[in-house]
Amino acid sequence: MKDTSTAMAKDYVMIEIDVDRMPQGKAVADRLTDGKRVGFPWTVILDGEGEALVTSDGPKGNIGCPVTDEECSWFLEMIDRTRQHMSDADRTAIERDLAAHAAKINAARRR
Amino acid sequence: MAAFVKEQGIDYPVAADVGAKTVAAFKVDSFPDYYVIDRSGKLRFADLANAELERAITTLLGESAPPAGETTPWSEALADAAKRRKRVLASTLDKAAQAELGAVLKTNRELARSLSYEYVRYDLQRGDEPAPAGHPQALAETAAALVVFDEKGAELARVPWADLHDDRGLSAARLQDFLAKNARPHPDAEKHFAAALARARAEDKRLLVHLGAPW
Repeated sequence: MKDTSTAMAKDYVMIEIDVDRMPQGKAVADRLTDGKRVGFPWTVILDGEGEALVTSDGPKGNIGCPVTDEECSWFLEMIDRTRQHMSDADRTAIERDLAAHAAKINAARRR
Repeated sequence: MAAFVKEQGIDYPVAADVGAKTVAAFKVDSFPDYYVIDRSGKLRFADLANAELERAITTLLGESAPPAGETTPWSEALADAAKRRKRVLASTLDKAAQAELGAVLKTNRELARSLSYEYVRYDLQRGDEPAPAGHPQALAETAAALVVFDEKGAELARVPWADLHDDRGLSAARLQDFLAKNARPHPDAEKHFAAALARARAEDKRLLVHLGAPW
């Protein structure tokens, strides 16, 4: 996943908001979700002005931590809609890491 | 039940809750009810809604298994604390004190919640079981107490077990106070968000915000 971290860092400042434990966590979460009830994890990508560009709500709902083909596709869609600096090779590395992660989880499910 | 399991082709372990002891211990309030335990034996999700089950399982399956032979219960507790931004609450209690603690947690949901959200538990003495290995020697020499460590294993605070008692027994208020005082501080979300957004703007990047929760 080192490739993914490097690639993501070219285009994204990434933070985690702990809705329960951080002071004002719920307020920030409510603002980002427009008060809508979401499952966790939930992700939004914003531009530099704070405008939402895309969220983890895919065609079939929140993808959470992407595992299925559809979830991974939506995560890549999120990247494709928002990336500015990463190369196609970076994008391929992310896709490869996502597939490897999904395969690992699916293998564990079968055990 | 064995015949039903065979008929349905169920290949995972199935157990009968004789005397409804598990139902009582887990405070089951509906059927079916889901409780998900991770590979280290810790209860990680309780009283799950049906729709959340798949995601809970996926989350746990996505966690890395510790390399065989390279970890101890202590190192696992520290690693867990680092990953979840928690602290380790070590207890050096005998069986009776453990039961006393368990009883107070059972009747005080807020306290139980604070403990599970902010701390990874590490119980040095578990009744008749051998003590787990790898922890600091000073902990092994500690009389009945609760001791808080950071994720690197540095001791931050301790309270003798007796000091958590008042004339009515173990005090939930004293325990809550100790836990609150020594929990890992969390940044203000508004400030954290504003700083990240300013950085994204300055570096011509996007801001990716991941909303999560301690459970």
